[in-house]
Amino acid sequence: MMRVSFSIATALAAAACWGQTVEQVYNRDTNDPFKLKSVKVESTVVGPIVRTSTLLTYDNPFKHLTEASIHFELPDAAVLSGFAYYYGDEYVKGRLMDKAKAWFIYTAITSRNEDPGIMVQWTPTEYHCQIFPIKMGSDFRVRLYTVAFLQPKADALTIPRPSVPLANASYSGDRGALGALDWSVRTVRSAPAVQQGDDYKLPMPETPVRAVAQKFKDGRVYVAGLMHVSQNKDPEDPTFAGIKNPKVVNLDPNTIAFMGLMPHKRKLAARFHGTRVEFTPEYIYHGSETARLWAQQMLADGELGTGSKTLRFSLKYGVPSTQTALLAVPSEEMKVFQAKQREWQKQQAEERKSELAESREQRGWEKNRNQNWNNSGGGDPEIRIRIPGATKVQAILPDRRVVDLQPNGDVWGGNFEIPAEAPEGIYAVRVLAQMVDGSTTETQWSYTVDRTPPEGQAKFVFESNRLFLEVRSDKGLAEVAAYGPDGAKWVLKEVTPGVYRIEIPRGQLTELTVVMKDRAGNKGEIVCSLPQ
Amino acid sequence: MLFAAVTLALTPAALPGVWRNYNEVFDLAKVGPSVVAATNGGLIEETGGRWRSLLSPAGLREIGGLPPLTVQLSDTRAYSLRGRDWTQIPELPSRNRSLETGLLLSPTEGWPLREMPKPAATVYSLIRDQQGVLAGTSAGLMRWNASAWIPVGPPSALPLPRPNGLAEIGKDYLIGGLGGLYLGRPGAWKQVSTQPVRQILGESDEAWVVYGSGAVDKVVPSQDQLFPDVWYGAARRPWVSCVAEIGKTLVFGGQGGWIEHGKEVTETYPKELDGDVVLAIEGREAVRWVGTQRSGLWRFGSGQTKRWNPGNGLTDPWVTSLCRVPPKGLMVGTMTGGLFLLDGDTIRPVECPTKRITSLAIWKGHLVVGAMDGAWLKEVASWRKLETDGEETTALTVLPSGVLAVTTASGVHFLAL
Repeated sequence: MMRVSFSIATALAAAACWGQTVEQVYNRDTNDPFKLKSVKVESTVVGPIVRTSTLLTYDNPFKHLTEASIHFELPDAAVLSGFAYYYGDEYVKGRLMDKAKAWFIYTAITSRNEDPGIMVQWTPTEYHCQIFPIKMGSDFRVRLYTVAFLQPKADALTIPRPSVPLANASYSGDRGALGALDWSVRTVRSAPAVQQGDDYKLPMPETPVRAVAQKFKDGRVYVAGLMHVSQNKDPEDPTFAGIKNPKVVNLDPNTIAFMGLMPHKRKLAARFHGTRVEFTPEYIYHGSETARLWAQQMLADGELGTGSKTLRFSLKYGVPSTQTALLAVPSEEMKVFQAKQREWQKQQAEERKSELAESREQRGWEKNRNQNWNNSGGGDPEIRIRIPGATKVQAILPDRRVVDLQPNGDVWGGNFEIPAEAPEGIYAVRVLAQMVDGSTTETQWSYTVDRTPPEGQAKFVFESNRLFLEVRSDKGLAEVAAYGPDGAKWVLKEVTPGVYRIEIPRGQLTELTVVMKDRAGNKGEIVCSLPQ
Repeated sequence: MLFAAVTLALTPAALPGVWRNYNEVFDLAKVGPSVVAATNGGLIEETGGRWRSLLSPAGLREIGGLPPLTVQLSDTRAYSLRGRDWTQIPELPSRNRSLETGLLLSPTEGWPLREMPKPAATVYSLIRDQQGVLAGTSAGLMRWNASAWIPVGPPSALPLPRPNGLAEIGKDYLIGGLGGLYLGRPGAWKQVSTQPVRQILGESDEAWVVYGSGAVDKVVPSQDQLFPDVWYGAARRPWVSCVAEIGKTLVFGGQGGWIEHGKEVTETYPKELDGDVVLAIEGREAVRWVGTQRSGLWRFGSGQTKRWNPGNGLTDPWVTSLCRVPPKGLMVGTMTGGLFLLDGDTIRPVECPTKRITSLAIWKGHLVVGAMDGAWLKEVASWRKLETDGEETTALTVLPSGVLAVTTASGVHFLAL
């Protein structure tokens, strides 16, 4: 809802119906503006939406390496669908990628004084582009691709008009004179656009809703449309039936742009002011415009949060976000690009590996892990020891072997092997830690290798006409269990130190096998017959 | 001359049939003009600047009096080489220790050589020979070449000591142990994970890796893909202790039950297994035999649940391994009670050279038993000890090529019939 009210304010302020609004294009070193030579615009109207490709050509008088900077804005209900520039005569298209990766590669290439371009999103409607260095002796040419909605103006719909100053390097509101457009317009499945003054206009649709639908590459159908809502002020209006996760942007007090997913191809309906309007979107070809318009609003609303979810979403729909950037690299720099991309992927893989290891450490599976054994018959236990402030920790095993422990926060860990044939005895593991201040601390813990099976005596005890099995053995055994001939198992409880008991059901039992197991895994066995 | 005798007595370990790791060198000694080193992969010897491997026990820590050759293992047992056999002796004879004869260093002691810096690894031993100073370190053997320490010694075919599992996937191998998980082949290993590995199951072009932490990764080398923690978030109890292939279904044993991954994923946690850990699982159609750490062997899925433990013939309830022996038998390996055969509902002990079984496999129609003290193959009426130096068997794997890989505490032995 916040988004709707925000949109009303901005839409009213931008009543001039600008499309791409270029604010500044300047030399980043000198802050001198680049002088506009021409603006060529191609707009294609498809139902209520319009695709615009704008080629900006600037004079490049600079005789030394120059970094160009471009800043531009889009309306709320619009999305940047592409960016490219010309390296001399080569058309260099921007690729959408993880922003950190894009900057990693951009920095690597510019450090060679070569020529990539990068475009990032500052806010959902503001974009900034840097290109370095511009090829000397060639015009500076940039192409922007956008998708937007037709704009309501008086009793008609107008095609959003790109706005480009002749020369501006200032962030002040005054952008000076605007450049003339070489503007061509074509319409698809719409009435022809008619030029009136500086604008191209189309008649208002006869129905209150005009929408188009496209199948995106994910197989789902996305819809985008315009709706007449006459002085809508209710933030709860309109509501939609048949559209999943609808997004709405107010274009003016009487018109909204909406977009969303269509789970099923069927008639859609909108309700506002208590009135229900049914409509069927016009299905056009497979394409991405409607999906991108919806995705842009999802990102602008911040519904995905930040981080990896936003990144994945942004890459899937090809829509810039706070997590992505468009990077354009000329073909002669592709080798560097690919090498840097591999380097980045390797770094990412390492980071993922380390995150994975950390997340595994944090899971509550410790009860299943063999840690810091103090009693054993052999095996491969894990050392885990908390030593805050250590820079390096080593465990010195009884057999002289040194194990470098790995940190996970303040906890240092590693595995070692207690030999299967290690003789009985007490063994010490020394843990040496090098601390931040250069000092060394030593911790020690010992484990006992025990290979002697426990011994004991078993007897049956009658108490109050109940039959109990009582076993006397070492105190603190890991388990004392009695097994019947059918495999039935009774685990005895240690009622007093060294005395284990359980009630045995009186029945067909004739013999029990008692197994006493100590904490090192040694087992002693007693077979006892039940009294008749 | 001593080592000429040793060489004659022992099979060279660097045969293509054995992979070892020599990356930890604990002691150095001289025998005539040669230097011998006690490594985690056995004894190695330098003659005329060339290193070669000699078969000997794993877990070597110290070389004692010479001659005869005596050694001490990590478990403190001492042995003497007499003729072709190692004989246990009460204690390791002491020998004169100096830089010329071989020094043992303690990690807490200072570096004894002023003329050269300490190698960037833990140094266990030092010796001076005709070519200079040689260091036995936690990163292998190193020789000082007047300006830097350079690695010497035979190349390790294994990327890690004490492997716990192996799978052959296409042209590569996946091997795991306490030192993590590696993919590749001798001379070209790539570390996939640093986590200690418990078990690896290869299945056509992919492998399933069970880690000591209970996590499971799926590795598809042909696509250079790793699917980490496949059960985390996908199963109610994602902690896994073993994996087995039953027909076309993968079965993952864990805490109190198991997960099956066939056409669908199903989870089974019978109340009988509450609090117990599944260490081995086998099956046929809907029947599942489940070997546990504490409560013996269970059978589920064929009517009434059945169990076998010390009360009815399975004297050790710690089941380590299971293996079907057609037409209807099931071999049951236990940690201390030896081998058992379950035939129908009856279980009985099977005569076997070892009581401490770690793994079972069927290889070319023969039952193979891996144990804490070696590996054996069942012939018609007898057991044949496999040439794995009597080492602890950590896994048995029948590779797609038909070779049996016996993974032991000291290396991997590839055997063919």
